[in-house]
Amino acid sequence: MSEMAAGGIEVGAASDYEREWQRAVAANEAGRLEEARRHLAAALVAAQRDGDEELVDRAFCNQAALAIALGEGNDPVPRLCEILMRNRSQVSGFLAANNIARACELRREHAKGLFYARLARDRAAALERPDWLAAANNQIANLLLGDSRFEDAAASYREALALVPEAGAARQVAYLVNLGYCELVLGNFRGGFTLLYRCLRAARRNSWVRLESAACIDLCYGHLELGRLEAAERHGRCGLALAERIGESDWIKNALYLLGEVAVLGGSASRGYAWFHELQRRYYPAQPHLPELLLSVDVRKLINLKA
Amino acid sequence: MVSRHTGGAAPDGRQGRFVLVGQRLRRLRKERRLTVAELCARAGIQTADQARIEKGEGRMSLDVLFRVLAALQVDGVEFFAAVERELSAPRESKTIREL
Repeated sequence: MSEMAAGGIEVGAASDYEREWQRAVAANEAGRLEEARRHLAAALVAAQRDGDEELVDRAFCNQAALAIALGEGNDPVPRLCEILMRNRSQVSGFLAANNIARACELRREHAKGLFYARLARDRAAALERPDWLAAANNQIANLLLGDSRFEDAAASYREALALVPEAGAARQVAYLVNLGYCELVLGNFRGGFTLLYRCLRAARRNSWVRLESAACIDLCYGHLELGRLEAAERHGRCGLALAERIGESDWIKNALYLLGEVAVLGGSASRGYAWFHELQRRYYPAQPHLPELLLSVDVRKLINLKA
Repeated sequence: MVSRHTGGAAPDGRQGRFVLVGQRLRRLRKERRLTVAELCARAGIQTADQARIEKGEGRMSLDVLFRVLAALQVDGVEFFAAVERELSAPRESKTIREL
């Protein structure tokens, strides 16, 4: 929901709908998702009561954004497609296209997602909304990153960043973390480390646990690539602890894997085995030979931690 | 001493590595008489992912790598050893590290 909420809806409908929507945004930003869900549902009811079909579409898009982020409920994509096809307004068109793109990203349907993200970008441009344009560019970048198109993704993150005015905002830091990872993979270690340490400081200052975890794991990767094993282990352990706290399983997998690599490259096959075994035990129980595989084969150059 | 394969990761053979891994995975899939869709259903991954991997178009997630190897019932160590043999034939010293 964050991208939608950051964009907002034009003032003018100072109604029950607007009030509920504002409450939903506040609850979402505070992480009270259940409360946000209730307010979004109330906003939809208010829009239906007003008989304003455009507002109903927007309310549905807002509800869908949260449902997609949480991965729950009925699939909202068919109705979002209907909203997009009806083309009642650029606003509902942007919201629908951006949400479909996000749903595609989560389903790893990157090509389809790119199509919709570009539609969202066109609508944001037509609306002259830099915040929405930034959100659409970020969505495009995420999809390109998922497809391991690092240079293109980095270019899109830079476009998104140029449109985010507030330095140090969570949204800006989120873009910077992914750009930092792209830079590391592309071999620009100095640039990547500069961005990631900047993100780490901002995340720690603001207690943004998700962003701190992401920055730590990416820093672990970067230091590992340069053979700085102590720094890699320190950041890897920190990233793992934070990822465990927020239950981000993909990040936990990455951290366990990277810590195993750190140990193996440091000469300790037994410690490496222990990390790889933990990875296998928790996430790949049907593949008992996985620790031996990872001990025997260095797959770092095949892996995209953000795919 | 433990010799460790690099997953076909020759320092100067980035594209070759991906292409070779993709070609071998494609060959194994065909040997098992599976379509891309069937393999993906078995592995629980997107067909676009497998198609991209088989074309050698870049990196993949840990999840996708492990799921594909499992779905193909491949011995991962042997698989990567074969990739490396093929990739490193002319420059073996660059692709096997001594730890």
